[in-house]
Amino acid sequence: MKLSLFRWLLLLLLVSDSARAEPLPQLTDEDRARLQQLLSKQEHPDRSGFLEYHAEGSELKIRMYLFDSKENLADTYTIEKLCEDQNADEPLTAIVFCFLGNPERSQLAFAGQGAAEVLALDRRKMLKSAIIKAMEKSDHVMQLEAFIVELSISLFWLESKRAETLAAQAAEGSRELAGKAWASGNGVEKVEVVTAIDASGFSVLKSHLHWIILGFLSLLCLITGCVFGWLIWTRSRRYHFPVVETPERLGASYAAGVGAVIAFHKKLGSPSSQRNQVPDYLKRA
Amino acid sequence: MAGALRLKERQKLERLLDEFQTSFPQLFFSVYYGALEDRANIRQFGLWLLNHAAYEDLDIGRPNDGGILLLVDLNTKVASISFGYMLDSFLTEENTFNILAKAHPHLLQGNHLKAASVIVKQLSRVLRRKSRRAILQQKVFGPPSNQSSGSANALERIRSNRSAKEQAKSKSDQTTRAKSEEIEP
Repeated sequence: MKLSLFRWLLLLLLVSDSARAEPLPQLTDEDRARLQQLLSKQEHPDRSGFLEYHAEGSELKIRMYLFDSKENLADTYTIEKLCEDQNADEPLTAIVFCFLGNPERSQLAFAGQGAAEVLALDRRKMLKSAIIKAMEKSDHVMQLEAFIVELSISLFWLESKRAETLAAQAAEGSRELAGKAWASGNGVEKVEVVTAIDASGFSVLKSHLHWIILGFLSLLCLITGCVFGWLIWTRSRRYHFPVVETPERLGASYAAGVGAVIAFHKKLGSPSSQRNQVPDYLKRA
Repeated sequence: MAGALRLKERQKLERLLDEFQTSFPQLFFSVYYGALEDRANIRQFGLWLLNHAAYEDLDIGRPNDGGILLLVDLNTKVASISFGYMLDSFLTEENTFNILAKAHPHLLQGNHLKAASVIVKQLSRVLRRKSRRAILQQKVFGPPSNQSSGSANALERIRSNRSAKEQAKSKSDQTTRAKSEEIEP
């Protein structure tokens, strides 16, 4: 009975590179598609190509089963059973049952690692938006194309959301570990490993904060020491002048140096207006 | 000092002058605050004072040749700088005028301590530069002619009211120095 049902089942398996191994060993995807005659010779590679394109850019793969619009599936062959059969260690995969010409019957489920974390609400929203997009088209194949494209977009957003959640969890974990390491005064290497996973610049900075402060203080001490040393050296330095025998002038034994004179009896008399007032008889010969 | 500075200000100024003299072992800086007559010429007075003044608190190693005298006439409100022969080749009238000009605002305000501080610091800066340059030139072009010993003898005569012990010591120092000069080529 199962075998006859399976033979009647017009199944087209279009999977991405990583999830192409649905058991029908004697037939290739193309053979099956040709046999079932759901898609034309040109349409099959088009849809397959898009799924491969999606698989290249996303870690969240799509495994799609294509049926005729009126196909009735056996009770034992449900999408939930397919998900259960899939190994939990495998990467997260979206399993889709599509009914060509009847997109409202489409089903979506997730299998693999982290499948339980995908909310049912999110899954329903994704399926609903894909169905709505498919319903906008009149042609069956175009409906299928719109459905896949919309599903791919939804999966991209789901993947981004999951990445953010994982990053937040990793950051939280690293903060906790860094706090423990800081409190205990050791385990710096451990913190470094966690922050490398976290890849958060702030966490790295925080984990090295005490070294940064220590380095800054050392630099400050060094600069202060240099400045003090320079000041001491400057103050202790002695300046000498070469003694030159100068002929006496004006009968003066020690000094005939004509220095400047400046008056400060009125505020309006600026220094510049008093420049060059040396009498001729005092000028140096 | 003619009451130009208070006791604390005077002490501060003395410390400043001591620092100057520590940095320049051949030189000394003196400040004269006085009230000259209207007819008196401050330049002539500075010239006369530096040649005839006997500085009792200075050692013999600092002849009046290396003296710098800041004269401030509080009567006519004029300030002047005179200097000895040792600085003849290193200080110009322009240098001293620029230094006085920087102290001019403080002189106008009657803040004589600040004015003297500015003058001493600015002069120190100029003299440090000149000294470095002179020593460098001496290294490149060789030493200048010998120092005249006549002025040193006359100085000793001027500072006659020193203690006999100090005088004897200074004499022995001088003779030692003269001998060493004779020995050296």
